[in-house]
Amino acid sequence: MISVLIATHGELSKGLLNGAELIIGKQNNIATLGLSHEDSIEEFEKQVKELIENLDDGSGVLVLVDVFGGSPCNISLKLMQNKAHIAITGVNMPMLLEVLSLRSNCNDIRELSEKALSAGVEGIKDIRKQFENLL
Amino acid sequence: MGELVLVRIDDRLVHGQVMTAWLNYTGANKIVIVDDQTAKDQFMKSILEMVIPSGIKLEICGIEDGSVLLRDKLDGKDKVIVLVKSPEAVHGLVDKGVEIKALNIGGMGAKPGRQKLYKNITVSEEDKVLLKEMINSGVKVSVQIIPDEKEILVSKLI
Repeated sequence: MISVLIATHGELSKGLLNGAELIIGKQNNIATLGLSHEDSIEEFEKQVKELIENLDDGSGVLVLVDVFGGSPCNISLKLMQNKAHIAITGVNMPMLLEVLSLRSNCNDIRELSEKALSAGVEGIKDIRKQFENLL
Repeated sequence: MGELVLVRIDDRLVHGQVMTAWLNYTGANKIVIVDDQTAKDQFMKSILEMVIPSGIKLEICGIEDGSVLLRDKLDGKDKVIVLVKSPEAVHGLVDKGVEIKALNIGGMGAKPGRQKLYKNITVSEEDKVLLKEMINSGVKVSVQIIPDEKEILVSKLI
């Protein structure tokens, strides 16, 4: 199964997984990593690298990070020189739920990451605007 | 004749667990909400229409219309999730001839003053009577919040 690493600033990654598991149940082949104030960036990089290696059962690893240009993003990008993972920025619940629901039936990491991307984008709506004609 | 892939008591009706986990797990292509109150509430109906994923058909009806729909008017290809808020509604459907083999309880009465059945699922005395009646008539009644969890038979809880 395609593995997932959620890497973010602070406890966001843990919180996202916690919320997702409430909806679709306990997950395997998944890890979270949070960067806090006191962490050294070298240590964080090492952890990301090791997690990518340890999670991969041959189907690949999809890394979900929070902000484009942030450390989790930059480190995932840097590691791409030697590793084959795919990384997507802007992780949110719709994206995570899509990935976790689809991956048991999808072994194509490229396809999964594209679906993750569109679910993440489509899950963002201004609901007052969307439902304006009903209010 | 379509197939009822899930009949669920969930007083939140449509929400994350249903939309994500159960739709996926059952492969349903239609959701039928049977609730007299919601059926009369145009605002709620419009909202529900809009949050259902495209490709999933939605019907919202009261018990009377719901029973006719589920009994006689399903398309052969329909794989239906039926959502109701209470045992009373399921009992109403059964009374009006809808064949229900299994009943899932996913969310009910998470508020104080009711008897705890399992985790945050609570029952009133009336609920218990109705559930027992359905169990005795051969309906498999179980608690299962999300597909990933194990089913717990209500006959062992009441």
